[in-house]
Amino acid sequence: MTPLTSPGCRTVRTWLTAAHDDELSVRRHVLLDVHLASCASCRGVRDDLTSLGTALRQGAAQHRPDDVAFARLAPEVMARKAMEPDTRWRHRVQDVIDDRQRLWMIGGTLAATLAGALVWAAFVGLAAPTHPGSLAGLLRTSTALGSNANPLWLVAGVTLPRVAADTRAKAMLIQPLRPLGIPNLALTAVVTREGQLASVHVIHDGVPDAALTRAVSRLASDVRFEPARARGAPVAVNVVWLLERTTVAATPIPDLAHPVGGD
Amino acid sequence: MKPARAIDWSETADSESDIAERCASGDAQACQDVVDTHQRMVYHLALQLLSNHDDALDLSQDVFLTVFRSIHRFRGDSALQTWIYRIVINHARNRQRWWRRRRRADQVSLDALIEERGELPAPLGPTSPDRALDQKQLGERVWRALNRLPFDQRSAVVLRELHGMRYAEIAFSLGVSNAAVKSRLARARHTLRTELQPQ
Repeated sequence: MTPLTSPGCRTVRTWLTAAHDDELSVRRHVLLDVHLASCASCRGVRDDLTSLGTALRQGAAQHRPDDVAFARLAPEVMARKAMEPDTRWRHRVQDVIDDRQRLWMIGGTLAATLAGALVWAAFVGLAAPTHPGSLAGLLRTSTALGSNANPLWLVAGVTLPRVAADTRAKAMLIQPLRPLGIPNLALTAVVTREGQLASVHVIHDGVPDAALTRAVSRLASDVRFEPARARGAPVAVNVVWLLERTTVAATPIPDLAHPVGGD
Repeated sequence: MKPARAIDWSETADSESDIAERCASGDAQACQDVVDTHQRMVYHLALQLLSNHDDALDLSQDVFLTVFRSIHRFRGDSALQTWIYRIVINHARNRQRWWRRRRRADQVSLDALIEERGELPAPLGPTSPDRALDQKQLGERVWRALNRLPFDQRSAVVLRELHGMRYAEIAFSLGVSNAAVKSRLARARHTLRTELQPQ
């Protein structure tokens, strides 16, 4: 056990506050009491602390609560509490369900948020340069040689488009069945990558003929081609056919695939 | 004013946890019990920190509403009273800051006090001040000096001297360490003693 040695005034002064606040150990309290019994100076410091605490309590006692106001405290607190909405989630959800207007608002907000998200996603998707609908994609497509929007001319290295075997009979409808004596007819068109005729025009004596163009376009829509190819890939090409002494069938033609009276 | 008995955290009763739980679940009677048990303490502390009856009453109401809103977070790490002390301190500190932002300095309330209670008595003598002056006058001077202390020091002194709290409880209420509490108490007492010395 550590012997009790009398502390000096400097040490005691540091203990006085703790002793005043009931935070000093019993052992140190004993030493402190021994010291104070013989040291008037340290007793003066202790008395100052004590009188300061007494004065504080005295001052506080002079500022007593207003009893009338204090009596209102509890009722007012409970009244304010009663007016406060219940913040628990269970009650919040129940309130929302009970309040249809709020439910509609929440539904509308959710729908608007969803629509906004979709628009945003679509915008982001369209804005991606890899998307064919984006500006970059459109420019890329339109400027690519051999695309439908920018067809090639038949030059060396480009194979000719050929009428597909299954639509050859329909192609034959555009042929000189009955000479009409219309010279200098020309058909200009684009054979697309997909093998269809597009941008069909019939030129008669150097002038576009709208009636013939419509009639030919109707027939041409049923004709399929094996598309022209460049380096093995299908490409769109411009074609011009001279249709001298050509008759355009203006009346329905019997289906050649199922000829009438055939065995 | 007799200091309140110091509360040991380990003494947090089961009944206290029970009442907190019932209050959290919306039991009006439990909430009423919480108010009845702690209202005097809350109001006294608010008055001691703010020195204004109306502010103290208003703050007390706010404190209890905060208690009701957040009592579900009370885990029993401290006595319920100590936990409420902490809320009072936070509210009072926020209110002090609010006033300060609106340029209502502490001196204003001091002037109001002088106007209300008259001029200061003669200063204290260098020794044995309680023998030199009437206790009432001394108490008044100390009270005014207390109001001039920074909020953190004032709250530490009030909790220790007027509410008899231990360092650990004060530390919890103020959200600081024990060492900080000791330091604040020492500085506050030094300032108060200096204020009581003759000019």
